[in-house]
Amino acid sequence: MDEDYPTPDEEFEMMYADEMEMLNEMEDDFDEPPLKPSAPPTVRRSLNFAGSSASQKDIISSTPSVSSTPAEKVDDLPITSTAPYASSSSSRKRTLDDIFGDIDDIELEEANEKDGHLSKKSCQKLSGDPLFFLDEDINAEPSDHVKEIELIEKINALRKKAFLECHQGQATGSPASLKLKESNTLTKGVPKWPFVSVTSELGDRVYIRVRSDDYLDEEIERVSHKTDSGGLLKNQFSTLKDEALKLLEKRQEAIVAAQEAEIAALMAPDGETSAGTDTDNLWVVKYKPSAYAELLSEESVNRTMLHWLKLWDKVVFNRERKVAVKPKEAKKENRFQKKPFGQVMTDELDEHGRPQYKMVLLCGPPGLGKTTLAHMVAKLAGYNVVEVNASDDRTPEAFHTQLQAATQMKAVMGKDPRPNCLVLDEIDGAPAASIETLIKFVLGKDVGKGRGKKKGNAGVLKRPVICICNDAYVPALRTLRQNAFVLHFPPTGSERLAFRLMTIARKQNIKTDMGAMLALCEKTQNDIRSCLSLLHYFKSQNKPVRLSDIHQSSVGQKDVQKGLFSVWQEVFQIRRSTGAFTEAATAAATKNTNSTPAVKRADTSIASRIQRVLSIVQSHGDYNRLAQGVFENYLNMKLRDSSLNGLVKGLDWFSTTDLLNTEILSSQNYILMPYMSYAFAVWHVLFAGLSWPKIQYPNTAYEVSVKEGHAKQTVAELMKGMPPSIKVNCSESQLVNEVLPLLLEIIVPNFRPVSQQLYSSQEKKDLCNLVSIMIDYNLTYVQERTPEGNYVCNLDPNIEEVVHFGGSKPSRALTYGTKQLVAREIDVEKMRRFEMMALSSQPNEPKDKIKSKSSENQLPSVDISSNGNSDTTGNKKSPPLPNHLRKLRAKPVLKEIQTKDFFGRIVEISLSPSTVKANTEAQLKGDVWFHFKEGFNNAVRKTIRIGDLL
Amino acid sequence: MSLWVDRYRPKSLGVLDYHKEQASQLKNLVKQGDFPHLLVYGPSGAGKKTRVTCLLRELYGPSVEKLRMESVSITTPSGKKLDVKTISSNYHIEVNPSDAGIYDRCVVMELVKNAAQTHQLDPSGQRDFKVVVLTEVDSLSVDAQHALRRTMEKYVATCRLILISNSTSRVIPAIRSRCLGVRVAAPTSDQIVSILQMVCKKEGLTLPLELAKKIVDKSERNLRLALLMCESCKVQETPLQDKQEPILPQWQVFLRETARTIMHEQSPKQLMEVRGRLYELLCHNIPIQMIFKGLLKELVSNCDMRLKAAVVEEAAFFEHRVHQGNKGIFHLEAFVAKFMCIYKKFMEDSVIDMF
Repeated sequence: MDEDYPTPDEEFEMMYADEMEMLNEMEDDFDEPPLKPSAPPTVRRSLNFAGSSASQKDIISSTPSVSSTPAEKVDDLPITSTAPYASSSSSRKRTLDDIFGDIDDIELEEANEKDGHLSKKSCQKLSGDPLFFLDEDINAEPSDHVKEIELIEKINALRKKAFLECHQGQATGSPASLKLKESNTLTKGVPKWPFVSVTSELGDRVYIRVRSDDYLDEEIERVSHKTDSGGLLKNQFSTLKDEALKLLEKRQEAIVAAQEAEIAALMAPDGETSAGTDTDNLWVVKYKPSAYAELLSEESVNRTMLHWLKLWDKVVFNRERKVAVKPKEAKKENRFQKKPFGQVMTDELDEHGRPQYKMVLLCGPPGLGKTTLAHMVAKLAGYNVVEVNASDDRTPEAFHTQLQAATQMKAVMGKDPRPNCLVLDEIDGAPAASIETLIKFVLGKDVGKGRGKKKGNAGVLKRPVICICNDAYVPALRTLRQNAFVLHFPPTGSERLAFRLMTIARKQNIKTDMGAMLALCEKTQNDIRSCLSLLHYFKSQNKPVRLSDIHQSSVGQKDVQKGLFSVWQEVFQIRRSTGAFTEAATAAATKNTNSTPAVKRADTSIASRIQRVLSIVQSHGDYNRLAQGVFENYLNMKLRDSSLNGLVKGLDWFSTTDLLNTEILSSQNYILMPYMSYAFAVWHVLFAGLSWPKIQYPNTAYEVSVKEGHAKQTVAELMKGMPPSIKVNCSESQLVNEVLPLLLEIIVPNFRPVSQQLYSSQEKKDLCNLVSIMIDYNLTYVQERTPEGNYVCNLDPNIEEVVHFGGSKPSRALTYGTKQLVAREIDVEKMRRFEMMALSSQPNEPKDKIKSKSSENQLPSVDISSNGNSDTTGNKKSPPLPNHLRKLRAKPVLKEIQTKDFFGRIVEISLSPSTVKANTEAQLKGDVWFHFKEGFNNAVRKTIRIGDLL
Repeated sequence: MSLWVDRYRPKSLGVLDYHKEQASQLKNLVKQGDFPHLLVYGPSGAGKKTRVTCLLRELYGPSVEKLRMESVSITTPSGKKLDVKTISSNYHIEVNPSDAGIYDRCVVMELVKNAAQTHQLDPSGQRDFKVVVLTEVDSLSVDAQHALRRTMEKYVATCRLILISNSTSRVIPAIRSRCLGVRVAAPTSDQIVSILQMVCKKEGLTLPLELAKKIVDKSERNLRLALLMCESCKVQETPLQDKQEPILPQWQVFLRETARTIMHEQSPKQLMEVRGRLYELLCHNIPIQMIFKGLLKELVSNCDMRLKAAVVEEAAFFEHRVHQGNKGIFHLEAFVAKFMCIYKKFMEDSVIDMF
């Protein structure tokens, strides 16, 4: 106890203390019925000390410890009968020890914990004389149970009786001396002799004397001498033993007889009826593991599950973990960690006393016993299992109510008001929203639609949640995976499973052998459920199960979808001796087809390989992607094909596959779909090798299509800007195939690297031509910066990428300066053209506008002169005023202002039209004009055309 | 001022350089005032489009050259929206239905039918019908062609269709029988030489006969290609020389190299390399038919006489499959492998025969 560091054994013990404890408990619970006649555990426990002190003087000393066990056990057992079973119980103990190591102390502790009498056993052990606490027992035990009191009284009576018998039979050894000694071993005050202090539940402290070994031996001897006479028992030990043996024999005989009868019934022709009777109970249910040790799943997984569940004890049962019992070790060791799988489960609890992970996600292929494990472990840890599976309503709302019901309430009715443990089975099929709800709920972020707020603490999950799924990588489970402790289920060991199947077969009287069972395991890929179902099926046929039967039966074969890469690997690799199953499958196949005796062919026979590839490919189903993968990888395989005939054949199949696929897709003719898979068989035969294939994901096709799309887009961009007169003469394909490659050669004329001003007339002409060509084909140069920091001029749209192959550079290229020059020239030319277009369209427009406006915008002078008929025509012909010459004016009031002379005659105002005309013309012709004091701040204006600047 | 191809393109039927008889026939056809649907076919670079443009000008006068581009948005039955570019004048509309890919049927149904249903807006125009020009009819899907059948008959009063295609083999017989076929054959070598020389003369250059013949040879009687080559030669070296080598489009050079790779060695490894090159070609938007054609031409020219028939047969077989299938590369590679196999066997046999 004083060691600072625990030995490895102890460490193991500590690590698995919980599980051990559980195991023992369970051992008691589950093994009780069969063991009852031989050795009840309670008695066994008491006999442990008895063993050390050989035959006891007063056997009743064991009774107090008996009192700590459920009452009925004591009742139905005569105290006297304990002796004969001592040996058997200890032998059983040994086997237990063998299995689980030294568990004595755990057992004791467990018992202590259970009853709250921490002290008693250790006291017993130390003193070697358990008598002392009889009284204390009666005193200390809060006798709220009437039954218990009765029991104690009964025990007392028995003790007295025994004492009396003792005294009558042999008057040696006064009880007085015994009593004296007893008082010496136990005090309530601090004694002078060496002691161990013990505190009872109620806080009473007693001190127990620690005696030396010599004293103990002496005492034992003394006691044994006293009891030697055997007066303790009413009958002789030997007679008792004989009786017991007879009883056992009888029972054995009865069992054998029953079995024989059963066998007879099965063998009888009306065996079907007996077989039929147990069809109502599936074997999967019938032979479900009933004890932890019977679980077939991997031990480490089981342990981790149990460990995790025990971590909940604090919050669920308000029970300290082992840490409290072993305070010394706990201090150093409460942070030990196990690393079962990638994730680390720590023993640290959060502020609510819950483990770090609130959920466990069990994942693995079907039929490994995930659900069984969850149920078993939860039951072991003292929970009531509430299961929610795919058959339940799993909409987010329903899910939420279920969650709340399961985790925050418990059964009031019913006999066992145990806390709930939520098992969410088949969670990978649940809608993503429901899983979101679950995670929110578990993490305590759930507000619960106002209800959760009321209690404040109500949202905190206080019950363990176990999720079970087949595929942990379903997108919906992504967040769940991050928040749960993920436990991957490794496949069950074939041998273990086969062994179990054998046991079951024996129980069901199916004649079979280990080989057949192993083959069965292989066939079902260690799926316990399908193994059992298959066995059940064989049983119903009522004949011995042989290896060949298993191979021939078409049932039990699982349809498992494999990943893309594993399918490709199957196609490209010849499997070396995959085991009995495929081998024999071939044999069966040949037997079926040829009806010849099944000759065991080699595993690598073509037929079996084809069969295998076909089944794998068909179960995958995505033929297109698979075919693409084969296409892009087959040339990398080591092909010993000098004549290339295999290649030709394989490629023929590729093109056939494409045709088939096109037909299926275009005419929705899915009846052709099954034929797609046969190409893979051909490719397998043609290309497969023995070595491990290096397979790459087929992305070339995708890359090509991306590049193709890019090129197409470039060309489309080019065509968008081309003037229609050019575009009309070249379609896209002509552009790509003929025009562009040569166009790139044409737009690189020779220019001397000199300033533009120094160009010869020929060069100027070339430049002009170049610019017009580039404008026609919507090309220009743009400045771009390379990653190295240099500036380059690239064509825009960059048709060089479309035209040039394999990164080859054009033979001739313009210099950077020239490209810039060309780009500028192109811009200038575009502006020029735009202006020309504007100018050419101008003469039409203003005319129309002014025509329409002239009627309302006529000068008053004209109005005045409208009387003079000669003027109007002349005025109309005069060029209209440009915009900037026009002024806003009020609408003239039409008033006949007639100037009259003195004599009242109308005076003709002769406004010479020529002067008016000249005036306006002068105004129009001048490039510069100005308005004076007319509200314009930029008074002087001048028309400047682009053409004048360039 | 632009590319020679565009600059020296004849604008009216009267000034066409070759197939003058056909030109005059077309002229007479127009003079009648009415004409049937036309199916103009012939190899690339033979002048089909030029001829159609001239015909339109003959029909409607120079105002038909005032072109504008329009983008018509079409909704497919599946609810997808497509933009189809059209080029139109007041009198005609030109569409390439294969731009819409697999939805070309919708283009025919909506666009062409719409255009055909509406009457000519300007009654003062010379003709009471308008023209719909459909280009690249051979890449039109069968569905679309069937959709065209009834349209052609029903709206003959308001519209005439001019279909342009490279060959009639992919035009369904129902359409062929509804059209007047106009075959525009590729110009002869002499015609091309004379045209090239005429163009050069106009440009103020002298074209040596030697070079002209080389250009004709390399261009495979494709006038557009020949003119482009000629211009690129001019850019290369201004006074044109006899010994100048006309430049081929780069993809043709690449394809030729690919063929050489195939001939060089026949092994799976080599096939892998060839596949890389074929992918490269497909990346550059080279139509798979062109690749087939180019490869076959190169391969056959290097083959023994006895092999030629077999190789051509295989090429035809797989080229047909390309049209039936979806993944061109499968069939292309299958052809290459087949050729490799045939060729290798032949070579081995001939080696055995030698001893």
